Amino acid sequence: MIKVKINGQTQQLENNTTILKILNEKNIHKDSVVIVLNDKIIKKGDLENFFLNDGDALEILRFVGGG
Amino acid sequence: MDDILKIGDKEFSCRLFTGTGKFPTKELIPKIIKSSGSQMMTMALRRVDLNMPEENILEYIPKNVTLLPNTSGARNAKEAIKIAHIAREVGCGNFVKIEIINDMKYLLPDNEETIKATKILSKDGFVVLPYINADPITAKKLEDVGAAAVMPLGSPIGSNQGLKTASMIEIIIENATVPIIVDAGIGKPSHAALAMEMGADAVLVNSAIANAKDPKSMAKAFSLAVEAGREAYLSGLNETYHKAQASSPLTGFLYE
Repeated sequence: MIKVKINGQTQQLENNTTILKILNEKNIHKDSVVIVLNDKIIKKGDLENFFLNDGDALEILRFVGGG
Repeated sequence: MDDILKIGDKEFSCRLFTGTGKFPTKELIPKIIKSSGSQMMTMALRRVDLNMPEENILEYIPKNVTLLPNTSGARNAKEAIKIAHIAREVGCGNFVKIEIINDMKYLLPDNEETIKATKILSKDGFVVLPYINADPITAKKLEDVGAAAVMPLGSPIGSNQGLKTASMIEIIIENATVPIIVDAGIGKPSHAALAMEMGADAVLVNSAIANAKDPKSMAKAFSLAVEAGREAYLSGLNETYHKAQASSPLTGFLYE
């Protein structure tokens, strides 16, 4: 198991979890979000290739209404 | 004659910019673009609530509208710069509204941090539209560090109080060499018209449209007000007098 911070909350994940797997589990379509891993933006095409590591900080972001 | 507003590499024929916040349904967003003719819209970047994901607002903004992501949520220049880079990297273009706020009661922006962020982002090729408290000194400093426009507030966000900072906005406009866009607190179309009569180059309205009973009509009303105010400004407004200035001649009366 690994500990990963997702949107500020520490979560326990299985080893070899990809970012895409997390999105699929939460029913979040990859085209509707912005993914930042350890302060780096991850391109859509790379989401299934990125395996999360212990201590990673993952931000799943989206544009919302604002003034 | 075309009265085009140039900001960065874009040209705008509509001087009403709009926000996407607080709409009861997102389907209203393309409708208010249609009814008002607004050509630039703001949006915010937030963490997805993984238990209750919201929709992506970009799906509702028509393709020909310029995106103006704001850096709301940023508490300092560093955080604002981060948000700006994310927005640009995911394809929102290079326009950014700097919004740096630590005051949770009045949502007044931090002018000092805004200057810092503007300096760095404009050097990095962003078209920076900083949102500030209406301070003429800050406005000048922002021009000096590369702001593409300056956005002084009329009154606190969403307060509908109108142009409480009118006298400062007048000074900012008088000294400006970049477009001045009055943003925040505009509650009625008459406020927007007043800003344009004063010589503002554009206004940004969000709450007053989103919270209206009929946002589509309200957006149209705002657009007309902005046009009227601009036309009046270009036509040359008259000064104010203490005494009456007769409209009909004061000689040749029938009954002397």
